[in-house]
Amino acid sequence: MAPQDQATSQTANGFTAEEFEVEAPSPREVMRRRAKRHFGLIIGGSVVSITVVCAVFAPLIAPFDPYEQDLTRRLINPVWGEGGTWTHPLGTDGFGRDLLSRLIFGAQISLTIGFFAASIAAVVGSIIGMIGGYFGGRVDAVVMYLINSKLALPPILVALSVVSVFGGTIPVLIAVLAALFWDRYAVVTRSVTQQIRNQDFIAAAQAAGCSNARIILSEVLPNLANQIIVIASLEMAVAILVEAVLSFFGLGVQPPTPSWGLMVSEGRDFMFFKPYLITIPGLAIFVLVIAINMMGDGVRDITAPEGRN
Amino acid sequence: MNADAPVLECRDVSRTFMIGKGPFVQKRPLRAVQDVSLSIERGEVLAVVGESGCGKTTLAKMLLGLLPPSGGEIFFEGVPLSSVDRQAVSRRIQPVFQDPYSSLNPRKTLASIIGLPLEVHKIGTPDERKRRVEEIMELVGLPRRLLYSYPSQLSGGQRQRVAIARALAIKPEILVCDEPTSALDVSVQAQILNLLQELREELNLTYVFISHNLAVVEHMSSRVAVMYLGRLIEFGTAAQVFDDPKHPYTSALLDSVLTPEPQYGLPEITTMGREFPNPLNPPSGCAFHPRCPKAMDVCSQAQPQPTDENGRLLECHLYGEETAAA
Repeated sequence: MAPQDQATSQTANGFTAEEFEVEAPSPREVMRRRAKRHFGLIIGGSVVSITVVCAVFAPLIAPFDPYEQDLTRRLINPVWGEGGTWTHPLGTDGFGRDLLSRLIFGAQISLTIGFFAASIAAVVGSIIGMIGGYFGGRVDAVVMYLINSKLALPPILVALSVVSVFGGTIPVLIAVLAALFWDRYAVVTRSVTQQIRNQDFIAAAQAAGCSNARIILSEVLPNLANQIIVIASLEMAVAILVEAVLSFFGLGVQPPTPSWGLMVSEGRDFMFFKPYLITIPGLAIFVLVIAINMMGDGVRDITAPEGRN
Repeated sequence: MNADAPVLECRDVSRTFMIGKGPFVQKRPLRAVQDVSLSIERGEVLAVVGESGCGKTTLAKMLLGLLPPSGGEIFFEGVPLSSVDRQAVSRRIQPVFQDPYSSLNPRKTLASIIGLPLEVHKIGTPDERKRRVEEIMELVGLPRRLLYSYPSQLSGGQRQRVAIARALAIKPEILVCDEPTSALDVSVQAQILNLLQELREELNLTYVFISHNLAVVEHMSSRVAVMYLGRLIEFGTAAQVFDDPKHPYTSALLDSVLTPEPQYGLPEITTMGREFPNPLNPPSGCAFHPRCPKAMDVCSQAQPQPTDENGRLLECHLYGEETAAA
């Protein structure tokens, strides 16, 4: 009983135990409170969620088959243009395909490639970075060499050459983009791990008999989760952009698959007569990338220990 | 294993760090710990005292098996520590660190922090582990409702209780406490010290208690080791060291203790006017001679040899044989 009395007396400096709990909300509660007040997170999160819902339920939402060509209805203007109809709210392209349906199905491609490329890069990059930061010395020198070699590669050129050899299928694109974007995770996780490594809780885990793998995964990794999520959101945006660029060059997703980048590329022929064919998918890419970035910033703000209000 | 052997014994333990990085920079040795020999008996509280930078923490890390000595050997019940499996060592020697803000993982709940050693050693089922964690939390005076709290929700004293609970979870025999109270408020310090005392009696623990606070040490310890610049300069029972300090450094340390009575003012520390020497460039001979009030010619020339008088170790020319003969 005696030790327990001490504990209550300790929190008794003007607070009862219950009040003390109110004073120190759990980290999750703090996050929830900050999230509710974070404007960027709410807007970015909503746009991303809407895009995800569209992508997942594309077959149900899209008014037309994105592959169905109808040359009698080609190049119809959007509703606000001359001769636009509500049947094709965003008009049709050069083959008479409904632009809105293609845009909705295109979200699937962009999100799939962006998400998987960013996630695979996150796993690879974080593991490399944590190993370098944790072990230091020669291991770290090897990791730094890998990172520097990667930084010396021109990403678009590498992507172009690899895709032109292996073909522009979605798995190849994901692999190439992941291989190009792991370095930022590695740089950040390495330096944060170096800081964490000197904390006493790592020594305590070692003294408790933990293996190095266990320390990296269960002591270091939880402290990196924030940073990894934030970089992942930024990298996902970049991956979506690069996919659009590759598709625009004709080396990404192959026609007639409705990728946003490919749609911009196909619209190029009509650029001066039907500019909406480029502006609409371009705008979609722009809005999604900005929304993902806003969401990433928001996640950083609400999870950062010092936090902004 | 030898039952008569001391639980832990250091024989001429040294640890040298090479300081300096880069291909064109000459690396310089920093002798953090030099030729330290001491033994720790079962059930005692051995205090290690000295200024910041004297090698206390390095010694603690070596005793925990986290850092291999670069010279000498540490024996655990007569067996060299380097030949014992780290897992086996970790079941019997556990640390309590100085800063409870850095020693608890901010992303984990108390349940998983305290339960970690149990999990690593695969002791019991998850249910049993949870019960053991609750038991140990009660033992160190943490209310059970904090089981799923995070360290950020606790005060400094509560955090240090968590660190103690984690150390005790697998029922170790030896606790290496590296300045367990120096990061805490004075009022909380007393609570933690009392807790450590109670636990020692209850669980029959052996403590290695590292501190720069002599008042704390006097309160806790049965034997005291005084370190200066990596060397063990005086070692004896608490009564010997506190009532009859032999080494001038020990006397100076004792003189520097602040008293609670303000009318006594600040203690006179004129004897140690000069600052702590650079460990990268230690003074010749006895490392303490530039600050020593009783320094003689021989002090700056020769390293004093340790003398052993019924287990009381001293390293000072004032008491060395060569001086006595001269």
